[in-house]
Amino acid sequence: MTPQQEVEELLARIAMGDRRAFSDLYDRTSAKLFGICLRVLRDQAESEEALQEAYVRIWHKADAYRVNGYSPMTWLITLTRNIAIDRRRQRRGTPSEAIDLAETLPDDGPGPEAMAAERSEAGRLHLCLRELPEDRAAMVRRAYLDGDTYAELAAATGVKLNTVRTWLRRALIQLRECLER
Amino acid sequence: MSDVGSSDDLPNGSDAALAAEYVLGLMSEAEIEAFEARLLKDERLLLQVVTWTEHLSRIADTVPEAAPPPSAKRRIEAAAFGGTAARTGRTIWRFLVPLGFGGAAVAGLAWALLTFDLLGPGTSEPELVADIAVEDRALALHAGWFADSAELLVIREAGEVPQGSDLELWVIRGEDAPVSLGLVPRQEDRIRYTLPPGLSGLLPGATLAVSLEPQGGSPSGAPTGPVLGTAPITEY
Repeated sequence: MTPQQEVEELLARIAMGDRRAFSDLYDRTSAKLFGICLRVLRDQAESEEALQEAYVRIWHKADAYRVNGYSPMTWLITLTRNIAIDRRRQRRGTPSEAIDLAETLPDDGPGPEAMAAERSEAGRLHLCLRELPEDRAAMVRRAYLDGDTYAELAAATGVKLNTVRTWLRRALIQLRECLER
Repeated sequence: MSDVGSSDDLPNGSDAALAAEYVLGLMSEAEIEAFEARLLKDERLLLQVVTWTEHLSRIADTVPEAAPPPSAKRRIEAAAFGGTAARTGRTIWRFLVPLGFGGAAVAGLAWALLTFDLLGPGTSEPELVADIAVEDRALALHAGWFADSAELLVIREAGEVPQGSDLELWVIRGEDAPVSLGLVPRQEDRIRYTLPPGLSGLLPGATLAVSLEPQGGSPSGAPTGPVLGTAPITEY
């Protein structure tokens, strides 16, 4: 089994309430997910809380990832990242805008096969980010890892909000075109 | 929701950009609402979201891994599993809840369930369980049998072993003479016994009993003191 299949197998067993599988998944993925919490929140105690929230949700929602068509690591990373971003925004008083993939998407999403192929192209996103102007690539990274809103990106760059939005949208479309090549 | 669908300057890629904004969390709440309403009906848009989610998650590749402190795992398992039992009540009912046992005791059973799963040897769940409640002594005992490791885990959840005497556990099968399983731990709140195959074979469908015995246990190999409580041994 590939590592991806192993994580998939663990999630399938967790969905059936298998606590040993949950323990195994934790051992395999907690350093990755805790690293993300620390990066987003930059606080040990808050990161531990976020990590707990993430795994509790994994335990309860493990059946949701497959129907939504995500590859297993993407699901785990996204769920954790969104929880951490949510907490970071609450801390600084911004209304929560982070999304919960497990809960917002309908059950009949595209299958995981197509996605698995994309995941195997490990360096593709980083390659394409490098094709963007450096400040635009930095904005994408900030939005993903710091949860920056347009207002915060505008404040950070000293550019008007609408301009930032137009820039970033163009950058995202350019990124998408590169990813599809 | 002023901006949704109004990316006139970006005719070919507006949905791609919107999907990315959604995944990055850049939308306002009103925009999210409008976008999600579209998502429910538009499979291509949904595919865009899934694809962006996959791509953008690679940004996390650049984040160094960091092992959480060892204590985190135990706490997280307690939160996850405890939440399940409290929320659904599903697993609680696998335990026998003796008549007259109140709400606090049910919470105790959930705790015992958790304890089994965190500490159970060999496998995460016992095959057989029994719960004895002795109300007038406020004594609550849980026993779980783990076939994989041939171990019986006994938990003294509430109550004390009386000074100068001992509490002994027995398995009683039909009309046969009770067979001793061991003593209820006095200091610790739990103990594991390894049972020989002949003894473990008696457990399914039998009754677990606890009796008051002289210190060190029954000298005769059969219960000599009063039987304080019994419970059926049931499949977990």
